[in-house]
Amino acid sequence: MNEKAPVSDDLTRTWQESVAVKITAVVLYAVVLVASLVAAFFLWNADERMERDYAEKADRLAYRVSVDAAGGRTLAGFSVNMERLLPGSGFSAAELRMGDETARTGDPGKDPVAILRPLPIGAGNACVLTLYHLSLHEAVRSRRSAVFIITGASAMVFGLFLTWVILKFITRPIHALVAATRAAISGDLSVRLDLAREDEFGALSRFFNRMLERIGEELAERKQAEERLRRSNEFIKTALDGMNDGISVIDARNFIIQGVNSKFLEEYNLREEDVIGKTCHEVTHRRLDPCGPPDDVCPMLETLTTGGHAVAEHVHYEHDGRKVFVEVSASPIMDEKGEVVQIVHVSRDITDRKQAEELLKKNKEQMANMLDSIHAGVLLIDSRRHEIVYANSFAANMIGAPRDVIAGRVCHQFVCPAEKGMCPITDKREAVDNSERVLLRADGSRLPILKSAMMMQYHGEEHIIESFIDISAIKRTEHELREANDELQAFMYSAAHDLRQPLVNIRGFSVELRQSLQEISAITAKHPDRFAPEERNKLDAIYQNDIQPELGFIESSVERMDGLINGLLKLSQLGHRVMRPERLDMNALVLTVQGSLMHLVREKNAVLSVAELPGVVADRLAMEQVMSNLLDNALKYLCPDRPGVIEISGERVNREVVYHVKDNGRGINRDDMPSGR
Amino acid sequence: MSERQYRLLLGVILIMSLFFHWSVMLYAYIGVLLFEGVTNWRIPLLVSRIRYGKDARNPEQAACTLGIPFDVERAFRLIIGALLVVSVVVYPEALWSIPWFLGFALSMAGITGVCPMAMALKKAGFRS
Repeated sequence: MNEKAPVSDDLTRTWQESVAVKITAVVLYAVVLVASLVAAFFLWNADERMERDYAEKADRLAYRVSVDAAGGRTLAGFSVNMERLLPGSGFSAAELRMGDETARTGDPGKDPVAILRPLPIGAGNACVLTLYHLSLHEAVRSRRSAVFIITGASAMVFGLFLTWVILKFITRPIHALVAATRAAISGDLSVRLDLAREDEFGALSRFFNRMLERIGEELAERKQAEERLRRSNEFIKTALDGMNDGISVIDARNFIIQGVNSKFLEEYNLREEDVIGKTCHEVTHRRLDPCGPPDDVCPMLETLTTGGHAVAEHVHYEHDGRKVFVEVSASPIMDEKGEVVQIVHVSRDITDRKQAEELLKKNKEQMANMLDSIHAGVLLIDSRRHEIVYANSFAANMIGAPRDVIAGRVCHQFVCPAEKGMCPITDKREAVDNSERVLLRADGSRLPILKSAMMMQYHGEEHIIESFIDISAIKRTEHELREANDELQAFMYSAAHDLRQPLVNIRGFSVELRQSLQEISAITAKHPDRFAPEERNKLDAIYQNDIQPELGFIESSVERMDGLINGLLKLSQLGHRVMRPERLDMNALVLTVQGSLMHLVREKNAVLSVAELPGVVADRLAMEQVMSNLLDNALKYLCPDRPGVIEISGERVNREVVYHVKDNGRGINRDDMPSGR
Repeated sequence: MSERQYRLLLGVILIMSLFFHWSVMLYAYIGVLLFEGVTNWRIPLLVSRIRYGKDARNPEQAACTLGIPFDVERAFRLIIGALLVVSVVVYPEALWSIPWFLGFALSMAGITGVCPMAMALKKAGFRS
């Protein structure tokens, strides 16, 4: 479309540019040309034809005049008749000569041409009709002028009509179309052509309207697509910029960076214009040639070779030269032919991870040194597979195999061989703390150990850490101690038996001695005059102050010795007795003990109060012995200055039961109490 | 004055001269046309120079495409003048319709702006 073409609806200004005028001009040129040719053709030898025409007209006119004059008309009648016949005849004047008389009608004009016709009227008198007309030259010229003026006027009228027709049927619809098109170009797609016609312009208007609707729809779709694309681009850009990895898109042919996200620029402390258009190795490795093995394996070369994803660890350099450890991954972008055209290069800063790995490595080494320095075996076991992951040197020594042999083996091959499938940690979910277990050594021998085990997280997975010490020496000592204890108990039993016999003799003889002294005292009392008063007083003093207390001392010592021997005997029996735990009603048990000691309670005039006691699982005989001893001691050592009060109570503390026997007796001298209690 | 207006004027004058048998006017008309064609002192150009100055150009003038160093309007005038000489002076009886045709053609060219001869001359390569 010619944008410079004058397009306007103002026909008063642009009518000359109108198609209608141009078509009209072409048509009129043709009309005028044809008219000229036709006129030239028809007016060829016009003077001769006009001369013949005039002659014929003169003949006809002469005939009419002669017919009209046949009745003897006069010249006056002729004049009247000629005035009627002359107009429209082509003659300018007519003259009738009858003899000497002449009658003329009309004006012959300048240089007229005369045609004479004799008339057969008027007997004996020659009668001649003279008709005048213009010269032929002038007549021809007038006819030519008339032809062209008429032709020109007709052409003008026809031209106007043609222009109107063209304007109405062609130009105006075109103008409407032009106006609508211009409105559409201006962006107004709501404009519509309303041509209620069924011709080509009607079809054109419908096509135009449909085209505008289609353009509108496509524009709307395009706007929506652009909006979607814009949002998608924004989303991608936001997502890429929001990612914590440096991302760049690289041309696969020359490794030139085509786009980067903000994290990439931040990582390398660069601006976008410093990066775009440069090669990746130039920006990240500060080298002019691409990375290559063995120092730097370029993942992009691998991606180009394999067409797949590739990962490698690289050392990159920041703008200021600082080293950055990165994990680089390369992913291909392929064209429709399946060829790699671009590569998405993702670099993740793993400097912290590397440092953490170094630290972890050092910590591992330190931990290994520490574990090796511990004088106990330590095993780290994968709780899921029960495989030994780590063994310290002490454990290896105890097992009797190198560490690399131990590592990877199932733990039941060495520790807890009898508990395969019944692992207290993983199967029973129990805590193992200082439990005696058996270690199966590599040579097949068994070693008693004291083991602790607990769960721990190691590399994100649950592991069991087991520590154990060799208790074979303790076991041997314990065995020896048990044997010595048995011997001691046997000795105590026999000693108690052996000591009881002389003690019975001492007690018996001391009783007999007291009886003898009482008899002597009675005898001396019967005969007070046989002794001097001084002697008598001295004997009384000896008896009362020396013998009686000394016998009391002997008796009390015997009682004490008897108690000690009984205790020794019970102790020896206790060591041999097998405990039989059972659920005990302590209230009933204390009541029984209280009944057995009732005579002592009354003797001491003591008050014994027993609270509600909780039950316990224990050996009945041992508990009776404990309670009996406690109450017996409490009653024995009450304070004589005040009434004795003994209270028995009990309470549950966690999974234990504590019984209290409280008295207001003499108590225990601090010096007699065992140190540290 | 534009060439279009001048053509209209030429057409009207020619028709009037033919219709009213203004022989002197017709000869003068031919003389003016030939004078303009020979000297290139064309009346519209002269009027434009008088009105707008020495550097004024015909607004319809455009660049020459084929490079014949002769103005279309000069050629136009020479051809019209020659045709009139032939038809009016040499063979007035045989070619009496040509002046009339030229008169109407010039008038229509002036009215509509469509001049087949000028277009043909331009096409032939004359400078417009």
